Amino acid sequence: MRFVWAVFRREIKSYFVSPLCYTAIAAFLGIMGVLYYALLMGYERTRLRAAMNPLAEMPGVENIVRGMLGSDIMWAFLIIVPLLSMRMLAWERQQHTAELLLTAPMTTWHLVLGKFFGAVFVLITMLALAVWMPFVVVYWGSADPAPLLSGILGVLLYGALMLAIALLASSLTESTIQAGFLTLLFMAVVYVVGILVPRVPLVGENLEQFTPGGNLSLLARGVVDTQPLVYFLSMTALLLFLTSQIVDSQRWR
Amino acid sequence: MTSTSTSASAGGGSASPVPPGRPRQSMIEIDQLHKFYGPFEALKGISFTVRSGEVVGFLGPNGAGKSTTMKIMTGLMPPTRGSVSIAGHDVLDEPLEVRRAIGYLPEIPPLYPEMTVRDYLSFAAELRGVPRARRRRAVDLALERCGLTHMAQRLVGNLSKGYRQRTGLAQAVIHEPRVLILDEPTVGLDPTQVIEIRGIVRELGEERTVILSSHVLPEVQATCHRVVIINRGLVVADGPMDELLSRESHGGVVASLRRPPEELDPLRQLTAVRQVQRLGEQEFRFFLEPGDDVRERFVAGLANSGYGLIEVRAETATLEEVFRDVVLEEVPA
Ligand SMILES: Nc1ncnc2c1ncn2[C@@H]1O[C@H](COP(=O)(O)OP(=O)(O)OP(=O)(O)O)[C@@H](O)[C@H]1O
Ligand SMILES: [Mg+2]
Repeated sequence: MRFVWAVFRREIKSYFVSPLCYTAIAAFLGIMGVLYYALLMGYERTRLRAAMNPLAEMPGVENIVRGMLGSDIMWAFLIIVPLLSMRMLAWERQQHTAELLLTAPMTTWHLVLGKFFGAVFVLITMLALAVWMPFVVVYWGSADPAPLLSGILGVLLYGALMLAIALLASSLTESTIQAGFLTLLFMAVVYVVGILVPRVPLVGENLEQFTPGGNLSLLARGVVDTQPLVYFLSMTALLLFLTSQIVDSQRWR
Repeated sequence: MTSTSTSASAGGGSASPVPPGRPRQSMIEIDQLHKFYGPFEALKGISFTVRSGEVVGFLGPNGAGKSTTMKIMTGLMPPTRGSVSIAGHDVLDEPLEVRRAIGYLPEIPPLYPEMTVRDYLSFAAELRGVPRARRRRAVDLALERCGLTHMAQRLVGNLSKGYRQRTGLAQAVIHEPRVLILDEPTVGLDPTQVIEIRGIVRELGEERTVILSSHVLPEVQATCHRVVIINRGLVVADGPMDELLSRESHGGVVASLRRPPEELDPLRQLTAVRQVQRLGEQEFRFFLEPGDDVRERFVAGLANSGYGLIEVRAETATLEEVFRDVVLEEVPA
């Protein structure tokens, strides 16, 4: 574990002096801000329309929160996770520090975990900087805060899963640019599958529980169930395991 | 008992250091190493052994396979065939044991430009399993050894090439490994730095096993007990430095004469002379008859010959000559 800790600490120090990291955080906050604004405007329009129609019910703010925690965050991740993947394993290879890490007396698993938790730390920082947006809505709209809290947990788990995808992608190449594009490609596939699956006739709804997006929306609805937790944690662990196998197999190629 | 090698480090004398005469087991065993890069065979069956406490120079022209061999030794890549064992552990079977035993300086130093030298070395120490309590001292010692103390707070990315190389070397020695694998440790260093590094390698070589690749042959000649020369993936020479050098030297004696005869014949008539070559206007190389006291008799005879002997010296080969010989044997010029 002390090896994981060593790699993790170095990662964090390095992230927070890196322009790329600040670019990613700025991009995240920018995207979330714009989408937040769009959601508020949309809400305002429906509210005005409802006010003019005496038969209509006043809309709640739950949809804003659900929007932020669902599709909004997914689009933001599609930009920033590939950016973060450019500082993962391909980066170590590109600048030849991989030789230092791979000849140290630690297992590849330690290395992979250290790198992964480093990126998760950046993710947590980003989320912490953006989390006021939905809280403001919930507070002023006097909505139930429970779905927001479970939704934030969902976003964290979902983001961690995307970072695990990024780490895997970055283990496949020596170029950081390629790592970024590969991550984008993998995530795009996951998204497209996520969009298509619910449209499969008959079984679509049942299949949705196997997509990351489906599990995220379960949590964003306030359903704190073991199913999405188990789903995210096991998928993430599986990807990290695969990544360490890939790195090891490269050592033995 | 090995005082000769330390005291000579600063002076950089031409005599090669004597290996310490204690019983030694083998630390590095390389057996029939083959490596294919796709269809290209970079190593074609490399075998050699390095005993504990030896400092071995690993030489060869560009593309000979030195870095490839060293990468296989560290477990960075597998051999296609053959085996490497370090400190009694097979690289493929017990990679962690091997990695615990080694310090490695790759051809391109593995540096994080955004870290300070001190932070970087502290991280390297942590990765190499130096316990926290001893880490600071280990870093200080490595800084001092590699002449980096005044650079400790600099960012690695702002260092000059020579200082980067030193930082890479400091990283390799920080945990006092039993086996040091250095791929061109003195590349990019100025002559004073080279001598300092030579000192470090020797100092470490007292206790540890060192294998270093280099293109600077006088460097190797002054630092290493033994030399392994490879060419196109094959070992072409392997032996103690003294042995290689004496094998190469033709046993000639070079003499300068103020009043040499016009012809070579009178010189050939001198005591104990077998053959003579003219090297210059006043310089000649004499090959002597075999025997114990031939040089003595030859010099006495030459001094009395009346040709005005002003200088005489026995020829010793340089590593350069050995290198040229074994490498050129392979490649038709
Ligand atoms: N990753 C690789 N893929 C293909 N060929 C390679 C690879 N690495 C090395 N080679 C080839 O293998 C041969 C040996 O390379 P190596 O780097 O071991 O040589 P070297 O002795 O270290 O040379 P130098 O003195 O230039 O450092 C070279 O012909 C090189 O082109
Ligand atoms: Mg090389």
